[in-house]
Amino acid sequence: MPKPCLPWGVKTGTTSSTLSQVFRSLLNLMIEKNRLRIVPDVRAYYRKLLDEMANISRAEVASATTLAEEEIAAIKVALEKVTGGTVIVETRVDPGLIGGVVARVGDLVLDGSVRTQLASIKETLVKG
Amino acid sequence: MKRTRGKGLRGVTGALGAGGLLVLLWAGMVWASEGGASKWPDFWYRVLNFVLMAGILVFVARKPIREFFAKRTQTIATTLTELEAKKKEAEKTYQGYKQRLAELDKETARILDEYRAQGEAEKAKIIAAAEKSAAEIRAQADRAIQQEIAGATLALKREVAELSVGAAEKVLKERIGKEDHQRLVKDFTTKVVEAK
Repeated sequence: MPKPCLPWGVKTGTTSSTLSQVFRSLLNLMIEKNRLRIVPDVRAYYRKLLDEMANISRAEVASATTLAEEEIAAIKVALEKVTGGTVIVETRVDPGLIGGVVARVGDLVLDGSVRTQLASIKETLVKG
Repeated sequence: MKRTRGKGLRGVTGALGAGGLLVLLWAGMVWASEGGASKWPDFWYRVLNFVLMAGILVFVARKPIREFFAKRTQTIATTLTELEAKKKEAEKTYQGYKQRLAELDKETARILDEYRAQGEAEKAKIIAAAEKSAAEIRAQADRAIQQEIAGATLALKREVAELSVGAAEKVLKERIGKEDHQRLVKDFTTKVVEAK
């Protein structure tokens, strides 16, 4: 869709099939204004607005090893207690953490990784 | 002066009379040595001639001689007065130069004292500036030393911390197991809730 080599008519033609009228109008406007490259940002912001409407927070949880389902559920419960809403947990593995978990919910970062603890110890040693 | 001039003139006249008398005696002696009495009229004629000549000379020359000597005396007196005035002038000039020399000595001494005082003040100023500069340099050096020490200490601490934490990280990576991971996740969930 964002390819500049495609003619304007071809691009607008692709939006006329199964999409809703509002979404089709939005896409046509973005095509006209040559703003197709920001479609992923619009999508992310739209999802954020939807989440806010539904009081849903998305948490990105990084761990040194793959987490078990029970662990993910426990983390979800803990984060829901912190945020006071529903939390959708997305996990990823980061071996650099050595151990522990780092959870990011919006602007909130909860760091329980061994890497950060080691860095804290190092800072304490430097400061004396 | 006039009295002196009169005495001089009488002296001249007396000298001329005495001269005439001497000539008369000398002529008598000459005549007596020649032994003839017939020459007396000639002698008296000559004496009369001489006396007349001398009288005429004195009468004619008296006034010019008096005037000459008076003029000469006046000239000498004027010259003496002028010389006296010049001498006084020279003495005055001498005193003036002497006074100026004394003043110059005083001025020289004053200028020298002034320059000396200025030099002392300048010297004190330079010494004060040098001492201030030295103190600043010393303080700067102290600060630099303190900074160097602090920097070296910090670098050393960093190195020690780096090595310690690196060794700990290596040990943890080698020895951390599944149970440890589970415990860490449990601690995380507990602490997150507690921190709220």
